[in-house]
Amino acid sequence: MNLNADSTKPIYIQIAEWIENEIIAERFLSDGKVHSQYQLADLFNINPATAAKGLTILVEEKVLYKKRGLGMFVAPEAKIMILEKRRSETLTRMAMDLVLEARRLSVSEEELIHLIKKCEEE
Amino acid sequence: MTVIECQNVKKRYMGKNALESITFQLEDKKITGLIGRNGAGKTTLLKILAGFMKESSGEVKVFSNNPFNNLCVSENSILVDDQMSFPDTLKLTEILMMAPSFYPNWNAELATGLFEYFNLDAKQQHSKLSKGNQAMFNAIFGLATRCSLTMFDEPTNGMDEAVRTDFYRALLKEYIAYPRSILISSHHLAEIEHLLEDILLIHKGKVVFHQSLDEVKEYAVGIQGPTEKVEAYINQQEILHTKQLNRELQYTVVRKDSSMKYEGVTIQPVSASDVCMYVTSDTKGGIDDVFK
Amino acid sequence: MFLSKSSLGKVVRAQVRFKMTAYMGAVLSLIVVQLVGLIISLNGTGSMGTSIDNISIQVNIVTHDGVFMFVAIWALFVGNLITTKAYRYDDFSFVTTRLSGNIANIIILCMVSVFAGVTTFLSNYLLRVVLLLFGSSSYLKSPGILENPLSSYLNVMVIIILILTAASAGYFGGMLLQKSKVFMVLIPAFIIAIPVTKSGQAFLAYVFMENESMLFLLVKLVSITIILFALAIVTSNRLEVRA
Repeated sequence: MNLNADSTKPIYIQIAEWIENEIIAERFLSDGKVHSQYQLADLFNINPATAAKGLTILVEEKVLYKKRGLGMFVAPEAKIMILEKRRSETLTRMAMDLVLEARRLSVSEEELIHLIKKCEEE
Repeated sequence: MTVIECQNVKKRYMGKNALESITFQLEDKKITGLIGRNGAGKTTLLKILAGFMKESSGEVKVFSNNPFNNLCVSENSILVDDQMSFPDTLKLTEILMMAPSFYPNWNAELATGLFEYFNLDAKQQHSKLSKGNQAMFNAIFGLATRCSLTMFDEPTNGMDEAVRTDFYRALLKEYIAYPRSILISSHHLAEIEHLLEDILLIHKGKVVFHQSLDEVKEYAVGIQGPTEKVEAYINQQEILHTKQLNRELQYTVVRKDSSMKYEGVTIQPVSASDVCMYVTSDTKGGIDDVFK
Repeated sequence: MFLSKSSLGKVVRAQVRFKMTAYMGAVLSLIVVQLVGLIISLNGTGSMGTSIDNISIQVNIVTHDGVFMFVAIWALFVGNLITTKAYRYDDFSFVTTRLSGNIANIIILCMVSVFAGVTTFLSNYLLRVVLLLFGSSSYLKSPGILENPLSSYLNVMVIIILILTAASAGYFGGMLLQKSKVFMVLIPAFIIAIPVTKSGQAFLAYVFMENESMLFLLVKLVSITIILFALAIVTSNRLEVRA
């Protein structure tokens, strides 16, 4: 399993996103156990503390919850929360980037909308 | 619990100050990268921590004891470097058989497993090994001792690319199986970055910083844009590195200040290894300054 | 964090076991040294001859002093050898302190000296057998263990302790050399000074001549050995490794 080490995204964010993706894909189910920091460290060949940081982010966002001595589990509404978050944050940011890039390349608003529509049709 | 405590440690060695002033603490069960350029004092520091050399002044404590001539420190720590030596009268397997009587946590299974994986010759003598195999044997020895403080000084010197990757993987797996404090020195941070939790950067015998890897990655930002705009932003800040890309464009690295808002320039993250390189370089433009 | 704690004794024991295997080469070289000494001794150290009428009597005095001299020099070198970097650094690949390493070395030198002493003493008997089988003498006379057991035991003891004294001198000298290269000059100067100067001669006379019995000699030699080893320990206690 490989992470993008050169990415500008910190490794622990990439770990958190990977777990989120697994939850969306329902490979981690509601109330199911997710990988421990050591399993993640082994899987991604990273320091366990870095992996733990990724898990902590998700616990703070209430995507995961801790059971003492048992590990981390997927919160019942985790999938909905993640999708919601991605819609509001990630998609907005990507749209923002798109608009900025379009402006730089002097692509008009109409052309941009046309482009998006074309992408959807494919 | 604190494993290492250094307070203003100085070491005069060969008529020079190898260590000027080293102060830091190392917490238990972390993998820390000891980073610095050649001659920064990494090796001298490790040798003092292992009890091989005696500090000239200052206070050194490993497991709350001064390591020089301390049995407890010797028993619970090991320094793996390319000067490790073993008697020529012993075969490699005999050396491995001797080890458990010294190191109670010795993991014989791991030692033989790695020994066979890396195709080392059991009947060989240590001094007859190739540089790469010698480094590998020393590293295997160090991992198998399972010492509470395991120190590696440039452990992959002489190993080829594939073996390095394997060694770092083995180190991580062993750490996961049996967490211990690991201090690993390298002048090539990018190679070990993924393993590390903390970085201890030293330069000219002094500690530059001791931070978590994530903090180091956030330490600086690169500002790229038209020269006059970039210069407007950096006039207040300490410049770590600067480069004139062409007549109009400038790239400058400064300490990160999250309160700053930048416009008209692009902001780029600076990798941990670039941060370490920039803060330890004497000129702001690097090698390019020579060719001006 | 769980730290393992071994006693000094336990570490020294492990080191002695390690060194016994590792230093086998040095011990085996002893056999070669003894054989050389033996061959040289065959010529005898002195002889006298008389002839009465037609019978001529040739008396050859053959001793194993030659063997002993060689072994003593060998012990000096072995003591010196194990203070060299290669040997000291080997210690530091395992658990050690400078004190534990020194104690283990001293124990090894004691064991080696006992082995060398006993075999040197026995070489006397080997010498007799060789002379009996291959020599041209028709009559051999020499004191044996059975004739005077106590004196023989004392002889072995003296041989052992003399060898150990040589080893301890080599060991201390070696440590001085490790400390500073100045001793490359000072040590030979000192060795030459002993038989030449008045006080040196007096010292030699005190140790080797003025003894009412073998026991006195033994006590003096043991004391010298202890002092030399103690000095070696003090000298090496701040030596740096892999420096």
